[in-house]
Amino acid sequence: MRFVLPVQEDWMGSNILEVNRDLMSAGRLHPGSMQEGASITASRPLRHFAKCSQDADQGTIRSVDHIRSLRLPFLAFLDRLGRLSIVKAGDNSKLAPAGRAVNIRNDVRIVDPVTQRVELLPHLHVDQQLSSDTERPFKGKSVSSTSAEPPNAEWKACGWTPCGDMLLGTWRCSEPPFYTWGFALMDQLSLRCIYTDVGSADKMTWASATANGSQGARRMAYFPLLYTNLELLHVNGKWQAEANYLKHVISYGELAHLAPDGGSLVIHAAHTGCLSHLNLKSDARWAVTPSLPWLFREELPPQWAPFPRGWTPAYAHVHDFPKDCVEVLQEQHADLLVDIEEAAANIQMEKSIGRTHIEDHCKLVLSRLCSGRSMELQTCIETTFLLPLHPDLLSNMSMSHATEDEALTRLMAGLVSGACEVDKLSDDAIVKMMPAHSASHHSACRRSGSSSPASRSVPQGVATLCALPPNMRKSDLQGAVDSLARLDSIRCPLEALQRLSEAYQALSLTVRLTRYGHAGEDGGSADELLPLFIAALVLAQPRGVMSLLHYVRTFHVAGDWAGQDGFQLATLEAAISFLMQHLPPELTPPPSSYQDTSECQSFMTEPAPTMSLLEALVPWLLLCVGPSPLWRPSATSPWPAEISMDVRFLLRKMISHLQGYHLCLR
Amino acid sequence: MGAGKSSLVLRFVKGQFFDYQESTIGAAFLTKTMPEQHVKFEIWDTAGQERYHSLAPMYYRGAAAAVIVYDITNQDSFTKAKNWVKELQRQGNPNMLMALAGNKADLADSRAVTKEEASAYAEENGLAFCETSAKTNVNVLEVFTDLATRLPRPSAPQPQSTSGITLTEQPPASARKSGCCS
Repeated sequence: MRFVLPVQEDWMGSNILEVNRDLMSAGRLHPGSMQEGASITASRPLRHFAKCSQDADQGTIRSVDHIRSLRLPFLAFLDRLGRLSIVKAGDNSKLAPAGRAVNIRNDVRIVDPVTQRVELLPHLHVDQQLSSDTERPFKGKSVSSTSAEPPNAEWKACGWTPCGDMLLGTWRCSEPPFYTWGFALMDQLSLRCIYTDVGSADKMTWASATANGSQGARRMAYFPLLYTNLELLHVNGKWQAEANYLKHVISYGELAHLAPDGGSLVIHAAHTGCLSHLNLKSDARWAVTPSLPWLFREELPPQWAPFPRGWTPAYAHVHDFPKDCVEVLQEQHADLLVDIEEAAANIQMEKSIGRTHIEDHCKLVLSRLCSGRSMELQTCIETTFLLPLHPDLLSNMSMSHATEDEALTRLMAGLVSGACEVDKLSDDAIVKMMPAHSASHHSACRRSGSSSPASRSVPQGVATLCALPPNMRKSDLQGAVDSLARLDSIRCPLEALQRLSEAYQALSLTVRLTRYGHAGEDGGSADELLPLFIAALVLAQPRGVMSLLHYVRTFHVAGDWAGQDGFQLATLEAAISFLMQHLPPELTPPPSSYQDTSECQSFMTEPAPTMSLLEALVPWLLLCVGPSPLWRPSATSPWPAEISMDVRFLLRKMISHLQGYHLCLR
Repeated sequence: MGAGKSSLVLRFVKGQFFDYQESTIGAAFLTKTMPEQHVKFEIWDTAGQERYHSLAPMYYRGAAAAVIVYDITNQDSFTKAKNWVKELQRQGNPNMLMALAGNKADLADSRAVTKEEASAYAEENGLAFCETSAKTNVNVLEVFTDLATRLPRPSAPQPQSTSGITLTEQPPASARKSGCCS
């Protein structure tokens, strides 16, 4: 039995419109073509179609080798009963690297990147013939999965929802972490599979977040508006909307209404003026009103300008690079511009498919391009390369650390304004803590009857918090404060390090001037510099400093941090940690729902876990592969009862990341 | 009054026998190359105030060696040094080399910690030990030379290896014991 299988080369479908329209106009794709023996000859726009053998009754693929030989990333097909099957095939295409292209986590054994072994996705069955309802073929029909995950839960169909001339189908698992799958069908004639990405590891907590209202969690909903994904982000108790259109994040719309109980949401779509309604309370039972019409390329609003330039991102061209960086690059290594342009284009291609591991890709590219270069050149390379990605990447970090960032911002503002009080220390206590020479100076001030200098420079609350030696309270921290305040406007991680370096140099000079009255060589010890750094950080009040820290660390492996940069970054981390320890109760973030273990917590909060973090999870791995393996024999096997839900979640996420590191557990 | 860890490292880096020091950011971060040992020390100073104690792991994390400094005239500083040793043994890099330095040896008249007591403790915990004086430059170089000698070498000969070192007021147990100035 042979069926015609529509295949998208690019999962988000750069050619899907042409394909479908071509098929339609050629009259070669119609209900009758979905029959045994039907075939389509591959020609230019149709080269994305392939034929594949399938057992209609079992829904399994026999000719795996054939699929693999196609070297296409995905195969999606319907059998005559309307069953939808998706296969991610072995792939060498740079558009969709194996194991990275789509983060289909749930019970999907993603293609082994080494062996190119093909794995099957769970089959989502539509219990009706495709053509049984010509208007809304899938509306109201139950949908189930043959491979529920976790085993104690059941997949529940949330139904197909008409949206424009498309249908959105969703499923979810009855147990957390809730998976939701969505596939959109344009019509009954051609199958569109728009992957929702909801199952990606870092976005699993929507349902639970909705239930318990924990802050910082996020979940997404998808509109089948061409290739646009609309993410609903639950940040700091507020829902925000962000849309990815093609490879760009666009400001899509704003929330017009959110019901007090968090159960319903109305989005005002900026571009179409339509209102969309989502029912969030019923755990992924969607009620999407057909407000966003399916648009063809020519019908796109002009403000979506990047599209006419095709799939090569506009900003991947040299003339879009920052001029200051281009000047440096042209002067020193003109050939690097070409490399950066090409690398940026490739990264963007991958970004269009899935951005979970985009940081890893960027790190690899930057490592290659920056190796052996001067700091100035490295900064130019990084700035240029990350220019199109920087806002998105930093935004991702910000979403992950929004709660901490908000708390820190409020704490720093409160300390500067004097509105926020932390634990108080007497001057005598401070004198006991500070270095000998500082204590002497302070005693001398007291003996001479001079007034406390604290209020002249550093606010009392800040000085008290940091236990700033009295003689340092009148220090001029402005240079360091200015440098740290500029952390808000960095364009790449290396630029953040430059700001830190400037701040530290300024503080070192401050210590010298304060202590000796001249800019000598000895600039003070950590006993003085750390409190001053914390004070300067508070006075600078950079936004999103926690996100920034993780952003910088994400792009550099631990080995990069052995030198002065590493010391300065460790100091920033220490300062942030210190401030977090002194958050007033009202600013302290609520505990995460997955806070059983420190490893779990770290794993939850790390957007791109370092190898050291993975190493910390080795005990869990050993549990999986040890003498009495807790690991499941297959992705569809039940979890052993002794593995708690949290551990399951942890393992699943760990596996997801390990796949990102091209490691194979099995 | 501090134990003198910053003074110790400043004495080491600014010493007269080596000219490879790089002026960086005061005494908080210093580098020193020891050509004979093919070692470049990157020395991270940590704030000694109790208030900042909890931040220390961010500094000693990943360090190849640690020098724990106490003041021989202050019994309390020796107690704190022992607490640092426990912490590093518990949380530090398991392969970290540690040296215990009893600083202010020039103030032996005011001694509160006997050399025998400190030496026995170091022996018991597998630490290198010696009494130093940053002021009179006694045994300062020896402490770091001993560490440089004991640091593991890469299998392939390299012109220079970089070893991070954290300066605290104490170290861990798995490191090989050595008496740097005994």
